[in-house]
Amino acid sequence: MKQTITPPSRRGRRASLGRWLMFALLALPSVVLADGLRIGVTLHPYYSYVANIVGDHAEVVPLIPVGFNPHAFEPRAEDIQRIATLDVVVINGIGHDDFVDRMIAASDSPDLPIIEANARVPLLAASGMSALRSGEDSGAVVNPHTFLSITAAIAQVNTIARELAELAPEHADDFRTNARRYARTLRGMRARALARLAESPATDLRVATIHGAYDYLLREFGVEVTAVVEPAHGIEPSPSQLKTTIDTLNELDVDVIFSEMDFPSTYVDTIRRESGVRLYALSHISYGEYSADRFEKDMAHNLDTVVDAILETTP
Amino acid sequence: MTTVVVEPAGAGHETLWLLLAAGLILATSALVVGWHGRDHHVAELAPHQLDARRDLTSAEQGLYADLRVAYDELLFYAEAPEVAELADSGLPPFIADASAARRGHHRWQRLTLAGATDDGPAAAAVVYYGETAEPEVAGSLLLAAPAADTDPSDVRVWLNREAGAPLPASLMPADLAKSGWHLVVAQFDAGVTRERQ
Repeated sequence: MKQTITPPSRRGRRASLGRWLMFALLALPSVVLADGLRIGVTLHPYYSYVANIVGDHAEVVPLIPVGFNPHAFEPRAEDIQRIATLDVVVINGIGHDDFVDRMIAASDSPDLPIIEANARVPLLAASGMSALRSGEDSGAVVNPHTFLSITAAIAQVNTIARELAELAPEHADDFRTNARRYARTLRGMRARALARLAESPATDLRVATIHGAYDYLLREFGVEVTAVVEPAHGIEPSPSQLKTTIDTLNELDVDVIFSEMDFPSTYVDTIRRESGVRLYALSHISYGEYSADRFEKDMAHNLDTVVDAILETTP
Repeated sequence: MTTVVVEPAGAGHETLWLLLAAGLILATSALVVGWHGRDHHVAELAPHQLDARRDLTSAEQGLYADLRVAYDELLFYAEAPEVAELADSGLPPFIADASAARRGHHRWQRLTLAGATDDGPAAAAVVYYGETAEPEVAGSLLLAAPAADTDPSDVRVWLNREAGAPLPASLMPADLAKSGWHLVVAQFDAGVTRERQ
């Protein structure tokens, strides 16, 4: 007997689709718990750190949209709304992302867990005008730019991995393994940069920076910052401040000035022209697209630039 | 005849009230500011302690940061490895690179000393001892390797700026102090850029 197979009716197909959707919706919470950790980050380097630690186990969500300046960020309503979709936020917490406290307090998740990446980093005192303005004793104002250094970056990666492992114990081993591998990669970058200095004599290099952000980075080379030029990040000095700065640079006999790639300014050219000091541009890693390899790329540039400066300045 | 005394035109009363109002506003402001002011007082350190932010040279600060990261790496080892093994894995400050040359030329050794816990003497402790060649750049350093009876988050690093710094008899605070070693302390606390706490 011939058997006929009838195609499912449209209503039958709808019922079947409905059941499937119902099943999918019921299953969704467990999927979210297993692999749906959403981790907010405030700055570009922290995006790279967390992305390298979590791999495919979580989604990393920047709180500052691409194109906004983190030094003058004022959150919009949609930025605050996004907070409620997160499970945890990784922050710098020592002065470079103070806006995040207000964002979390104003959001629908005021008790959102926070990972303070710098909790185990030995902090340096702020340099430049921000430190002088405070009128406090030395070290009361800390330098928040720990993310512009290999050693401090590894310390933060270890802290973040440890805290995330507690939040998602099922991925703890992966987080620790990934963090260790990432730390090894970063150490390799530093070792390669320092290897280029192997033949260079350890002279006392006198360095000035336009922005007081590179103390942690330069300390890895055993170099101390002698002077910081800028009154505040992104704010140009007045003509009288500029004259004082140039006089100070000449008086301190500075060998090198490190400026910023993202803040090209005519006053920097004036300083170079009037003081005759070599000028090199470093990345603050705070602008443009977020990506897992952003920190590595920009730090490779920074390390190379510092090595070039030392080699070209050392007699 | 009726005499009416007319006060000369002036602003004496108005001035008085204005000054009183200004004084009141100033006093209220001072009270509010004082009430909401934050105490940025930094915890006092014991005489045998050094603050990592305020009391170290730049080279010492760099070395101390490297040692803390090295300690995190040491947690992955079942037994504290030899210095050569740490150097081979590229772990600062044990690797002899250009940075080591600029930060005091330390010579690192793994040693075993009598240990100590908060409660008293303990089993032998493995330490990494970095003897400086340039005390004026950075002092000698001592890092206690992670041990089973210590808190893994408790990184202990000591500094001694004397040339040819003598090793302590044990890691007991009295022995360390007697031989001139100071515990380096990193305080993640008061700071006007850190208002969370």
